[in-house]
Formats: sequence, C-alpha cells, structure tokens
Amino acid sequence: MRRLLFLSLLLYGLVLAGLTTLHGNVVALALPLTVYLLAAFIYSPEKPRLVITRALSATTVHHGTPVVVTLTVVNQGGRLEEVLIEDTVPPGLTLIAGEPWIQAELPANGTIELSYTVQGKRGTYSFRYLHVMVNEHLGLLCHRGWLEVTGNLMVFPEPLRLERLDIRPLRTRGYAGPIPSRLAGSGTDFYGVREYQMGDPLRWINWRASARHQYTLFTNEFEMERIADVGLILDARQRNNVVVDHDALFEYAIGATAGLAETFLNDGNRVGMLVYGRGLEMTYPGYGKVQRERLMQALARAKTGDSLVFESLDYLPVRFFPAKSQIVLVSPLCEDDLAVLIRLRARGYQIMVVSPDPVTFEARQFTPNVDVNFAIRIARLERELMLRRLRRVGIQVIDWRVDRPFDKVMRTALVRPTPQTRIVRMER
Amino acid sequence: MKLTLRIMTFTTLIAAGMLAAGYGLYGKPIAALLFVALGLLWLVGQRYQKPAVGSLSLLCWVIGAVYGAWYGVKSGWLLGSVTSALLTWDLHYFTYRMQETKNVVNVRTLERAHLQRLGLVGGLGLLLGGLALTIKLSLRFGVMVALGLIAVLGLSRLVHYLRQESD
Repeated sequence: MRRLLFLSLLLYGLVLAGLTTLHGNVVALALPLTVYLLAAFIYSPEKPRLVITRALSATTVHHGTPVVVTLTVVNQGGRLEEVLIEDTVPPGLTLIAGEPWIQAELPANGTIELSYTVQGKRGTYSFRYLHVMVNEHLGLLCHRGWLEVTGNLMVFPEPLRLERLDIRPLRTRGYAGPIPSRLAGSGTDFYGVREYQMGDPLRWINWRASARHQYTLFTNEFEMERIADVGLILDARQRNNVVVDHDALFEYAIGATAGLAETFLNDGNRVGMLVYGRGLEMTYPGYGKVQRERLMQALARAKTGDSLVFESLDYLPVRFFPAKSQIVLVSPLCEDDLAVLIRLRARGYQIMVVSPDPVTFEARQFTPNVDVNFAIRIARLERELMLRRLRRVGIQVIDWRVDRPFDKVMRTALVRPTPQTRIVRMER
Repeated sequence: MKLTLRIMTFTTLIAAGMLAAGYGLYGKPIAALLFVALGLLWLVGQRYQKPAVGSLSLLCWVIGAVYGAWYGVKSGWLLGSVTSALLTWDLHYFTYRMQETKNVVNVRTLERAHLQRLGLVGGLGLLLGGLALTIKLSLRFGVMVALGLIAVLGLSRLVHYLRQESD
C-alpha cells in the first residue's frame, strides 16, 4: 500500500511538473511508472478463496516435547501469483524448527503445506489466526486478511520424580493397596493377637502365646493394606508466589504437585485435587490413567491469581475431601494459614504440607550484605517457627528448598516419624 | 536469488551510470559524481536490506531526471536512468520480501516469473517513453490542457481503483 502511494505521488509529481512547465520530456519520464502501475492493475489478484486446516502432532504433551504444527492450504479460487501465509504462534511457545510462514505461487485447486515445530513450557496454548496476503508479482497490489483456524495445545508440567510415599490416613478405602489401614485382617505386617476362631489358618496360630494358656489358642492378626483417599491442594494465591528473574516459585509447586499426584496414583490411591487461588478449580477424586490425565490438565491450566474471597484458606471446601483422608497441601505458606490447617487436623484429616521455601528462593536476587543477611535470618526464623507450630500438632511438614532434589528432600523428611498428636486445640 | 541480485546490481549501475553520463556530457561533472556516489550508496543499502533506501533512491533519481530535463540534459539518458531506477526499486523490494520470508516454495519459479513481468514492464515503459520523446506533435494550448486534464483524471481513477483493490 505504501509502495502504491509512493509510486502514485511520484507519478502525479512528474505529470504535474511536466504540465505546469509545459515540458513534454518530463511527462515522457512518467511513462515507465505508468506502465508499471498498469501492469499491477492488469494482473491484480482476485480475492482469495482458501481453505486452511490445522493439524497438531499432539494436542497434549509433556513439558519440552516438540509438537509439529501442519497447515494445509487449498486454493478453491483462481491462480494466485504470490500468496504469503503467516501463522501466529501463541506467546510462550518456542519455535525450534521450520518457519511459521510460507510464500508460494498457488494454482487453482493447488495445495501447499506449511509445517513447523514448537516447544513450550507448562500451560495451555490456543492457535487462532492466520495472516494471509495475496499479491501479484510486482507486489504493488495485495489482499490481506486474517483467517481463523483454531487449534489447542496443552503442555503438561514435568512431574518431579518420587519414590513411594508412606502415608497413614486414619481411614482407608475398601480395596487392597499399599497403605496400612489400622485394621486387622490379611496382610504382611504384624498387627496383634486374638483368640483363635474356627476357620483361622493353622500357620497363623501364635504358639508361644497359646503355650501360656491351657485351653485357649491364639492367632496372629495382620494389618490390612488398603488404598486411600488423597486430596491434593495446590496453593495458587498470587500473594504466596515469588518470582525471581522470570522464575516463579509456583512452577516448582506445580512440579511437586504433579510428582505427588503421579506417585499416589501409581500406588492405586484415589486422588483428587483442588487449585486454590483466583477461584476453586476442583478435580474430583478418581483412580488410574484417566485421573492422571485430568490432574495433569488441571495443572497445565493452573495460574496464580488474587481473589478477595480466597485470600486466606478459610474458604477451603473441606467437604471436597472424604473424612479422615490424607490431605497434601503444596504451598509456601503464610501466617494466616496455620489456623485453618490446625482446624483441618482437628477434624481428623492426616495432613502433609509440602512447602517450597520462599525465603531462600527470594534471597537469590539480593547481593549479600549485613542488612540483607539479617533480614533473611529474621524471615527464616519466622518461617521456622511457623513450621514448628504445624509439626507440633501432628502435621507432616516438608520444608523444601527448591534448589535441592525434591525426591531426596521427601525421603529425608518422611524417614522421621511424625508425632501422632491426637488432641489438637483449636487456635483462635 | 543470485540472478535477481546480479540483475539488481546491473540495473543500479545502469541507472547511476546513465544519469551521470547525461549530466557529464552536459558539462555538469559534480552532478555526475553525485549520482555515481548515490548509486554506490544504493548498492550498499541493498546489501543491508533496507527497502526505504530503495524508495529514497528512486525519488532522488526522478528529481535528478526532472532537473536534467529542465536543464536540457539529453532525454534518452534520463529515460533510461529512470526506467533502470524503477526496476532496481522493484527488485530491491522483491529481494527484501524473499529474504524476509525465508520459507519460499519454488523460489526460482517465483523469481523467474517476477523477472519476466518486470522485463516486460521495463521494456514497454522504455518503448513508450522512447516513442513519446521522438514523436513531435504541435497542439494548441486548449487541446494540451484538455489532454493534461484527461491524463490527470485517468491517473486519479487508476490510483483510486488500485488503492481500493489493495487492502
């Protein structure tokens, strides 16, 4: 368009200069420019009639997996001398091979294919518009337009690998699994001794105990191993997120939640998840691969946000989690959360808090000096006190410095037995 | 794209050379040197892929040619120079487009088609310009004004149509 305007102005200038000065030679100089304009007019492109389809090699992938985007363009109109198709790559995706645009000559009913490869971080990405530009060979006249050709890509977070986790919720479910159920029955771990009943296998008889009584036999009991209900809570409140050099603490929390979800599901447990932040995003409890997919999708969508209602954990929908089940909260924690967690514990939930350490994370951005070191020390002490109060009421707390491997931290933290405090005072 | 680049360098040299020769033969060596320098600058601009340099250079060439025509520089040199400058301007933009896009299907076919079209336009422009310079007609002032008005109106219509057609 700018070229057309420029050439037109030049042409007018020449003709007017020639006419006003009555200089025919100047007008003659305008002829090549006129021919150029006329050629553009004669070969002006018709409005394109293109049918474009988009195909993605995968619509759900893990972090870092390349995805090939293929666009097939079919020309249902007349011949197009030059057509430029430019795709809009959603922000956040990185181009790793190919180009998201193509220029070609497209005959009537002809087809061209554009393909490129992208890679992205955790999130959901929506491909929508294509820029189409059709022009004649001289590039003076063109038709531009935006076509909507949608496609969605979901990039799952990279789950932090974990070995089996030992959890002991007060209540388990009815199916066999790896979690000690605090109930006697068939199992491997010794649970207790009771009087022999008809039908008990002879090899379960406790001969040593029976020898002490003249007419009574005793049988060993074993602890049944069952699956459990596990509720994951991911804290997505913006106030608890720390961002240092485009690196967000929330992303570590996401990785940890994904790892925990995968581990619990692999053990056969029923896992549900709640993302608590801008609102409540609930993934209802379920088992197996389908549930894993649902949880990963929820984690891929998770974003931090602020909400006046959900500023504190007070509005945590407790009924979402079955009574006396295991709750795992992944949160950097703040002072206001203590009361809610203690209340939950008092209701009989077994609570584990995985807390990415915001103090160490944020301290990275400061140059160490006396004041900074002092401030960090105070913040650490405050945090340590907060975590200690949680531990005192029987909540398992994993203080995770995100520069350390998550599985190692979990293993070390879970080796120590948690005090099974039963009586919990409600703090007001 | 090698062919286009070669032709572009050639047309730039022709444009600069013809205008410089026209001014040089007319006894204006400084103007001749100025256009040689401008031609070299245009060549440098082509290397750095600046399309604005092309438009600016074409403007310089047209102004140079108009001044030349008023001062009495032989019109053949001027017409040849303006036509070459127009072709260079087009090729400059074409190479810029192609190199920006990178992903061009059958770039050689596109290149050839473009060069053919441009050759036709350049040849026809030169031919018509040459005819206009050689044919001498004596017209009355009124007829001349009428023809001038027709030319301006026709051009206006054409430009208006082209701008409407182009998005």
